[in-house]
Amino acid sequence: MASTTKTAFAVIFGILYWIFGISMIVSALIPGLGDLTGQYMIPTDPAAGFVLCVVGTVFLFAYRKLAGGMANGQAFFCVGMGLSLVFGIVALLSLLATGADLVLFGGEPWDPVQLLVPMVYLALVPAIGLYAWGREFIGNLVGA
Amino acid sequence: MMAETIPLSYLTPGTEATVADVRAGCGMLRRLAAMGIHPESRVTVVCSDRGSLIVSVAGTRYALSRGMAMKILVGATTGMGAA
Amino acid sequence: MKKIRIALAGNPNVGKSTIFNVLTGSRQHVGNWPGVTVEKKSGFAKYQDYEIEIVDLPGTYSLTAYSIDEVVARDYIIDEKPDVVIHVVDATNFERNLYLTTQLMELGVPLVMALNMSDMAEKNGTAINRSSMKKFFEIPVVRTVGSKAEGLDELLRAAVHEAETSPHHEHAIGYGDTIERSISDLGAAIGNDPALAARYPPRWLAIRLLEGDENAKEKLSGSQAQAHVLALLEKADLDQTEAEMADRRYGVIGALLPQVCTTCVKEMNSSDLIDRVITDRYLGIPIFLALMWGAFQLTFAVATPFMTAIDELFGYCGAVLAGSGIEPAWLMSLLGDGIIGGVGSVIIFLPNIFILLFLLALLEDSGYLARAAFVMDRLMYAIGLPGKSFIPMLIGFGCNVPAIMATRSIEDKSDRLITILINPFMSCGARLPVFVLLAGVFFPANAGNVVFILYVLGIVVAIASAWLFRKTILPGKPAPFLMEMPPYRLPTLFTSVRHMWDRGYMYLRKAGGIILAGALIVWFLATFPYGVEYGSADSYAGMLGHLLQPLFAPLGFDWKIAVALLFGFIAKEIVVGSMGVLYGAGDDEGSLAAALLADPSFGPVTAFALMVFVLLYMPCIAALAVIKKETGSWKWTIFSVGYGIAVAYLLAFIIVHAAPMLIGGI
Repeated sequence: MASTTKTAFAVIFGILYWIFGISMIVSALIPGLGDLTGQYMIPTDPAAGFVLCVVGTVFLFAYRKLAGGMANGQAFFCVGMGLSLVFGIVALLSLLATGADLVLFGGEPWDPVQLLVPMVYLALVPAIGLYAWGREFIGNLVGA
Repeated sequence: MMAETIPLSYLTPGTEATVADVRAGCGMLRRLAAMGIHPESRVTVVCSDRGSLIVSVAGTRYALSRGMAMKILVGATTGMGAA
Repeated sequence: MKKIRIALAGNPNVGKSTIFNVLTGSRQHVGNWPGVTVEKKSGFAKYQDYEIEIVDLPGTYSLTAYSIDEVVARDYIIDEKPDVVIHVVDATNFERNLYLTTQLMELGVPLVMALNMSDMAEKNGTAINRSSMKKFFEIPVVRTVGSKAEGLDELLRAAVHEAETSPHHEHAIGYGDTIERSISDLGAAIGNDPALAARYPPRWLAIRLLEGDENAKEKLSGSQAQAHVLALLEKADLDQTEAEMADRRYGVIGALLPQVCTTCVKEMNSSDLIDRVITDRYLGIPIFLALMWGAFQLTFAVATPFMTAIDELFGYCGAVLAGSGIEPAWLMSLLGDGIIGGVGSVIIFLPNIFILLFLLALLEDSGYLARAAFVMDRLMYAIGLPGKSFIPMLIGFGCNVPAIMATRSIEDKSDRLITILINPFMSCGARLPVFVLLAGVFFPANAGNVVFILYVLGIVVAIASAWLFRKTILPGKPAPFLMEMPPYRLPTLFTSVRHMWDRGYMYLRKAGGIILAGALIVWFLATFPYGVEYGSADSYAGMLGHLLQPLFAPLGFDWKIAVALLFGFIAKEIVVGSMGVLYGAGDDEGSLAAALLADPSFGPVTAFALMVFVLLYMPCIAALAVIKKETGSWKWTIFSVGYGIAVAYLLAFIIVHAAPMLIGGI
């Protein structure tokens, strides 16, 4: 039961991450495209786009294994959610730091809306997923 | 009856085997022995990719490159459970 | 006040250092074992009315002399004869740790076992029966959790008790009749030299000799028993003996284990499953690259507000100084331009370096970095580097000094040497000020990309150099990869901060010492002969520059750049400060930028060539000092200087001359 949810989850997020990742990469390469994607609040950042594609790939691998009943599906799935969360935090902290710099020293106005970057909002649901499905898996890891 | 031996690098993940021989120089031999890899010890393959592996020996995980894994020969008949 | 000396011994990664740190707190000292590059950590602790000196021995899997670490550890126990040895054992890796236990027992030293990481073992379901252990080994076994400082009091109590009570048991493993006969023959022969027998327990020495231990043989030299002992050894079949002895040891451990640990679990756990993903043949490297992006991104982003704050602070100090009207003028200049300007340019990049080191420590403590080394090993093997080179190279992006020291974990000499020689090409934090300034001024729209290209160029040159060295001066293949993969764990802030500090403080020391001295030298040369305009062509600095200019003319660098590069030898951060002085801009970056733009001979091409030159030209003094220390040879140290300058000159030359052609052609 939970498996069909997980499988669906994996394929959906795999595709989502890829879509956003590719747009970020492509919009950096083709001039003019950046304005289009900018309206959807997708920044042009090829490196970050690459990272999104990597996370997407992990989810897609997870989908294939879960759907095919192959071993390791759960592992790929949890790692995918974990990476999603990790990069969500990285992006959030980076943007907060940049914001802090502007607010404290820059004098430029900073809008918290700047925080809404794919890497951050795409991570919200997987973070919940990690809590729901991954707790036992992670709990097995010995905490230092 | 002579048991066949194959290099560790050919094993698939999840397989357990017994080390038959270690083809390495003195120093490396001793180091491996201290880590638990010596004839008669049980080794389980955790991950494997084109010959380079992560194995579990005496509860510890080690990563070995293909070159290293080729030097460790294990019994070809793999065992599941206590022999 | 009674004094006791304790040595801490154990496998790597068992939490020995954590216990050492908790016991000694700030009363510890890090030095070197004499004659070798292995670190010696010693410190003091108090227990009741005992003053305890604690020495943290290098982590080793055994006491056979495969590596310097092992020789150092066992020589300390034999020669210095500590009152007690605390054997720290990782309860989650129990079986493997016992090999060392058997060897320590054979040394006949008073022993106490600390069953560390017990909380994790208990969580795993591993149940180790301490009282059976005590009965079997006849030594006290104390449950400890180093990271939570549990059990340490009891540990000290047991240690003190063992030290005070005597006699001690010499625990013997029976090796079977034939071998035992050889052992007693050898033991008797050794006993014929009372001095030798007093220094090394005869049975232990006999066992080591039978195992073919070269270091043990060396201990015989000068002894009257040497000839007899060597003759006896000739007669024994050493290969066979060694194999049998290892067998016996494991036999003992195998027999002991079920009695002592009923649930030593060996199944696949989450950590293994995660490894299936992390080391997947397709995902392994992309995941690694993504995590590296994360680390660098976070470093630059989070460091920025700190850097701005520090910049404002120094600016403020400068303004206060200027307003204070200190006499004489040269003193004001010394304080302002020399000290504040010079040191300021270093301090400002401190957040950058420390944050990167912290993130690397997090990755290392979580266990991930070991997997990354494994994943990258395949690629690195192709260029002639071992996977283990990988972590020092990463650290090099923070600062080359701790990075080069981190190569100690590479056992193979050639591998280690190559890793050390290419490390300076990893763009360290010190070069960033130069890049940020020049890229910001001459490539305003693309500054970030330009800096990124420089980093990549550094990596490319490092790889090409490694390949080149393997083809020419250091042929051979890298040692095969064999590395323990510690289980994945959630790192504690405390441990990671500590690791960050261990590596970062070297950079701080450099800042306080060398760079301050360097900044003062720069100031001096720019100010004198007395009365000249600060940093002008008439000052000593200027004269020096004109002397060097012909060397740099083919690159289009004028005398001011030549001087700045010369000072960069001291520390690369000084390049920007010196340029500020020489272009008459003081420490205000805005005016330096303006001065550079105004200079007709300084254009984007020159700027790029200069950045490439600074990236590659040679390790700074601090890094050179470490290279000399770690390689122990002047030859290689001088080589790294010469090679760096040659590569830098060549590439800068190509850029300066090829660029106009490329640009003209577009």
